Amino acid sequence: MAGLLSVHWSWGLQVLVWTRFRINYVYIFELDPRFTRSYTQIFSDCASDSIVFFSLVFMLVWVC
Amino acid sequence: MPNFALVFFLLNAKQKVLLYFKAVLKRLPVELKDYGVSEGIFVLAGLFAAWHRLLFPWVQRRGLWQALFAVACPWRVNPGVCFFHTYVGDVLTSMVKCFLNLQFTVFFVASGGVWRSANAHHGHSNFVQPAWLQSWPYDHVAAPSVVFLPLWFRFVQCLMRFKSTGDRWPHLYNALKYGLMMTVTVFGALHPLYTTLRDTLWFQLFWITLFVVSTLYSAYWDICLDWGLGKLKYQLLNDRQMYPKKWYYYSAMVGDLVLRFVWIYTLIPPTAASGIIALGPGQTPSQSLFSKLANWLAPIAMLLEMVRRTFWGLFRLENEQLHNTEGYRRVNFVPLHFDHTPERLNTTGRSVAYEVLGFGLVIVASGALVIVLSGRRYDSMATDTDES
Repeated sequence: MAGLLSVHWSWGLQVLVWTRFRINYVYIFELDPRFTRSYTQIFSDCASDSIVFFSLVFMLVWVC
Repeated sequence: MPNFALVFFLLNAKQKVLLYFKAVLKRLPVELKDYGVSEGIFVLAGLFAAWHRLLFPWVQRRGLWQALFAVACPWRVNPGVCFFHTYVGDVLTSMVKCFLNLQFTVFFVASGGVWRSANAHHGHSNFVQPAWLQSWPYDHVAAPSVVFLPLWFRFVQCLMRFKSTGDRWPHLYNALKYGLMMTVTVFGALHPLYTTLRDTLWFQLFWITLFVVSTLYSAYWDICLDWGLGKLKYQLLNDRQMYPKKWYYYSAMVGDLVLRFVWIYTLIPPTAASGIIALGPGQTPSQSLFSKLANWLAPIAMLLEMVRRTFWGLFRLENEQLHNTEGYRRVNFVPLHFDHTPERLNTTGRSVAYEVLGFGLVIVASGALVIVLSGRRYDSMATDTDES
């Protein structure tokens, strides 16, 4: 699950860099522009996922 | 329990966290433990959260699943292999360790081991290796196939590209790259390592040679073909660059070479990984120092591979934007990307980077703290049980 999380973060980071240096990833990947999301939205999802994940780990280690 | 599950389903992520902290404060899990439900609930909740994120909202996630389907069976998709599918396939080959862990978790839950460990030890986490971990279906079918399949998908994609374009270069040579990797992993995974010392030695020599050749070949492919770098005419770079500093490119080239070796290591299934560098025929993997080292290295290798894949993607897309490398698009020109809905924050780039870095450090530090503390706690538990 940490792996999935890191993939999600990595995608957000890639979108950030591509956006900043004007690399048209939407065009190259032939993504549907209606459903592509900006890196702030992706990071937001990643952040809440990370909170859930780390609190689960925290509780798995401390409570059990 | 059904009520609890229903409430859990209806909440969003942040509410779930709040609920959990409330539960901890009121010591709800301790009460649950009396019913034999303790550790499993966290594992299940994690799986549920991952499942939820991967499926909802469906309008946005549908593209991902369609791409995964296209990667798995490219002959079923109408326009054939497109650039996005090869990209997803490449990312999948990087996620092998992650899939192995997920598979382990799913097996662990499905076999009921989650609940059993909670019952047997009353919360003591002396992890007993479950029987299915060494059983034939897991050890010889499930784990190797998870390692093998992403490479196989990429291999098939290369052959499909060759079939549709008719160009031997670069598609057949790319297929050769994945073929080499598959050979390395399959030999590493399935060879019976504890026969005689001489056989093992020869096998190890052969395997390590293959390993090095395959890794150098893939690193060469990354740098020269995927990124279009390494041209002597342009001081080992390409004719045009979109990223501002030249040392980005040089450090990426060096980093790719180093991290490729780490990556091939992650491709070996966990059951075989400890035996690869075995010390001798008499020693079981659990005794060797390397297996302990391997346990520590596995998550780090997984993260490093994601880092490598991330910057690989950055340069791959840059090259694709500038050069239309393998003819995926009919028109060479790619319009520059401009955000139509800019969400500008008031901070400059550097301060945001520091902020993110700070948060990352806090998270890593707390993770390390948890690991260290838990280790100390289990140690004290172990000594307690020894004394009693």
